Amino acid sequence: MSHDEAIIFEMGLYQAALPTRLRYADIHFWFETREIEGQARTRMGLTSYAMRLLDDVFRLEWRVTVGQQVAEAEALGEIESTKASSELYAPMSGKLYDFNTAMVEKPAQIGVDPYAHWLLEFEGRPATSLNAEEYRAFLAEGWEETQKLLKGQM
Amino acid sequence: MGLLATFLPGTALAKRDAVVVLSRIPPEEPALQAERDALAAGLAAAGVAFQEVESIYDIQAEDGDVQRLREIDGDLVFLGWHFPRAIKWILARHDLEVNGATRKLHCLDARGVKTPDAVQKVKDILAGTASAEVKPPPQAQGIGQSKPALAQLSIEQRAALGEAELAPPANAELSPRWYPVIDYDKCTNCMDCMDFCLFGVYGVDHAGTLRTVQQDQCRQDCPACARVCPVGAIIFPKYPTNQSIAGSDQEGDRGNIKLDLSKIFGKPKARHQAALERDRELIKAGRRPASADKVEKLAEEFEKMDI
Repeated sequence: MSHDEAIIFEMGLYQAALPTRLRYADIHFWFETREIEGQARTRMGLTSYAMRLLDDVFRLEWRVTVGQQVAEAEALGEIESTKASSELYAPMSGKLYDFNTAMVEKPAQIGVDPYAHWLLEFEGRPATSLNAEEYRAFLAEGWEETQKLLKGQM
Repeated sequence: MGLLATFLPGTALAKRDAVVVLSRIPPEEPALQAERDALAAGLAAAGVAFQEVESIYDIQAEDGDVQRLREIDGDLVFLGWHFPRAIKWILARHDLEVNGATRKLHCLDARGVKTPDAVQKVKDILAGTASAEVKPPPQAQGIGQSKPALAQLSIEQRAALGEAELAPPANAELSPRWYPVIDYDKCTNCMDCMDFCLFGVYGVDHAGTLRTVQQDQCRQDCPACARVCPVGAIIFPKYPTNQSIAGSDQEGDRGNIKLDLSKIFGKPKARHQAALERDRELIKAGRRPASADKVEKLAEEFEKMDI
């Protein structure tokens, strides 16, 4: 894990770390916005909460191309693990600056440390985001419902 | 015997051999070529006669292959490269009888099937010991159930009624093709898709039945109307990431059943997502997006970007 300062959300026995230096989207992406030559660029990846739900990821596919303008909530691609799959939706609007091809080639790496492996980079910054504490509160609020949703499918 | 077959459809009397047809692969999936070559060789080695047609989803109504398919009047075993339900309704679109009223139609998805297994399955179907008919789902509410006669009109009859497909527009991308295929076992004729599509793909025939009248006006890779359909009757056979839209019977029916975490990862309500996809296609086509609120939202975002 990163040696960042982090707060913990307890998913049963599993402790999902939420580094406080990052911002979050309620669809379980983390954001890291940097200023590069006066331009904001935001890298994002999946949170440890997301990775705990997915487990061993073996497939990550994007259907977007670099330079494409993307709207928040637009379907961008798909992720698949040994026990689950999901479409992935844009956590912010903006122009796609880059994606991390290493993670497409070896998606299992994401699970090793989800905060060390960004997946997408957008120009600009998210219009809205949560800090670690707000994201933890959001997770806590939805935890019962999430468990029901998971069990309902099994 | 031919007469008997005509008057006693579906009986074991006057049993003719079924005709086996092998589709060529869709042009955008060259990786399937090796599988197809192996299957053709396997059928030949097993002494199974078969006909070949071009990629079934990609051929045009006036192509010779469509005419040849229509001339096959016995049972048909169709080997293709889409889900069986997609194959069935692509063939229905070409006015082939698909629901067993006059003959059996067996649809096989050859993707990922080992050649010996596929050949054996075909032999079993020919021997009458196996079936690959795509039956309407048990609870089917579709108009295909109640109005079989319309689907059985010949192309000439339909043309006379003004119901033949319109010719592709000059600007249409004809290869690879992309258009919706309607499953009339499920379609309830609610017209939600026709209301939703702004490209004129859908229309109705003289009997008021939903048709794809200008399918080549459809936007490449856009599956939006399939999400709008309340009964899942719209198939895009080439849609890569959602098996349900591509015509699988059920989500997760191939291989292991997996958890679908899409809701947790922010799956928008289907209608919302469909509107996003449609707007994107409208913008690409140089038109204004339909949802005014979306335009406002974009304008807000541009303001925030401080340009």
